[in-house]
Amino acid sequence: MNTKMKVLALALLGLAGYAGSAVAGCPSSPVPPWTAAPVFQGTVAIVAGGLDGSACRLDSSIAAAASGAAFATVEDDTPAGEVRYRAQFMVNLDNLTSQSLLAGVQLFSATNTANGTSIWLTVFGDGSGNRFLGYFVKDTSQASGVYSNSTPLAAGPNRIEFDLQTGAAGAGGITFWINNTTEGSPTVPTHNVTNDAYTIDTAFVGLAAPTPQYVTAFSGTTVGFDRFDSRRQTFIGG
Amino acid sequence: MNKTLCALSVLALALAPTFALAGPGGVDCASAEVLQSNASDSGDTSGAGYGNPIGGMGPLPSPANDAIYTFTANNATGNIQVTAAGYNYGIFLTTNCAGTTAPPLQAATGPAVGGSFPVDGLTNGTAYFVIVSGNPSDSSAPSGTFTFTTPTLPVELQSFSID
Repeated sequence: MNTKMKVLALALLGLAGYAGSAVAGCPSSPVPPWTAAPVFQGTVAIVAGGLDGSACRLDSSIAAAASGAAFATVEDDTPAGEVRYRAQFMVNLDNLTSQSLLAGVQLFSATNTANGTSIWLTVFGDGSGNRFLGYFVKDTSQASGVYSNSTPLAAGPNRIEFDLQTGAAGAGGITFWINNTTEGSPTVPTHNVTNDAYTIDTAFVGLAAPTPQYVTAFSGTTVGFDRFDSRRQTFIGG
Repeated sequence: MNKTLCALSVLALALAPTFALAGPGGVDCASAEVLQSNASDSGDTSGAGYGNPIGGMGPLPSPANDAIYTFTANNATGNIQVTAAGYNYGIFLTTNCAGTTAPPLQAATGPAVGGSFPVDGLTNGTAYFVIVSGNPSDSSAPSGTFTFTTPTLPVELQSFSID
């Protein structure tokens, strides 16, 4: 496999000549190039208006009265036991007006087939227009089995990039760049974890696991995603 | 056990009375407890022996302890319903049992009880799994007591013989 694992830039789909376009220039389905589009109590759709100025984006929304197990995602099965996994995607959360601390929802997850979810990213707010990316990374050195923290997001489209390295005895690590294309100055410097059993086999992009407060406030509200890219080694940047 | 007794035992299972109180669920895929029709199943995922063998279900994280049940569909109809829970639970219907399962076909979550999902339309002869865990939207990885009821899950008589 090439160092560059997968570029699933939804914005480019419309230029690839897929048939059955629901909107001029955009395909009616995200599959292919995505492996699948698993949804439960939610919807995904390719619509016009890419987050990077291109033709199309992915809209994801959670249905009214959905449970905490709802998901509206696209799935990439390209990774295969990836010891190091770098990924970047764009997301616009502006439709989640005055999002509160408790109105959280998942944006991304990546899993190890044998052992479960390796990393998942969420978003929550402070009720005053500020928003934060929550991140949860498997860390078997922690009593809870998970290392978690958060970092601020901006208004408008956000470009989220991370570098997940897996390793034993604190040799793993997680690093984030938020709207930041300078590899040497990450937004969140590397935090070491123990996660050698959690190499990456599958990635999911889209909304999932909404809290009851999120469902009450934002059911049916679309969140736009775009420009997903994943690699083994090289920084993705701009 | 001779063949007649064996056959009668299988027949007895097929005709088992309803509302039997079942056990606490398996602690891993290999020990998944077989669900019975029209039964009430209770357990406590915070109890000794329970761990987190199901670490994810498709896109959903599953950091909480799991109790695992299974059944083979045979014209199953009705709902699996949570009637009591002492924690912010999640209950999931999946097509496989693994560290990361396929995305769930159906699910219900807490904190309120009364959540249910249908088992209609499943493929006859196929094994399904019901996993009781924590609510994926609750990062505190909750666990605790639960009770759920099963609808009609007819037992298929695999063989029958008379000496």
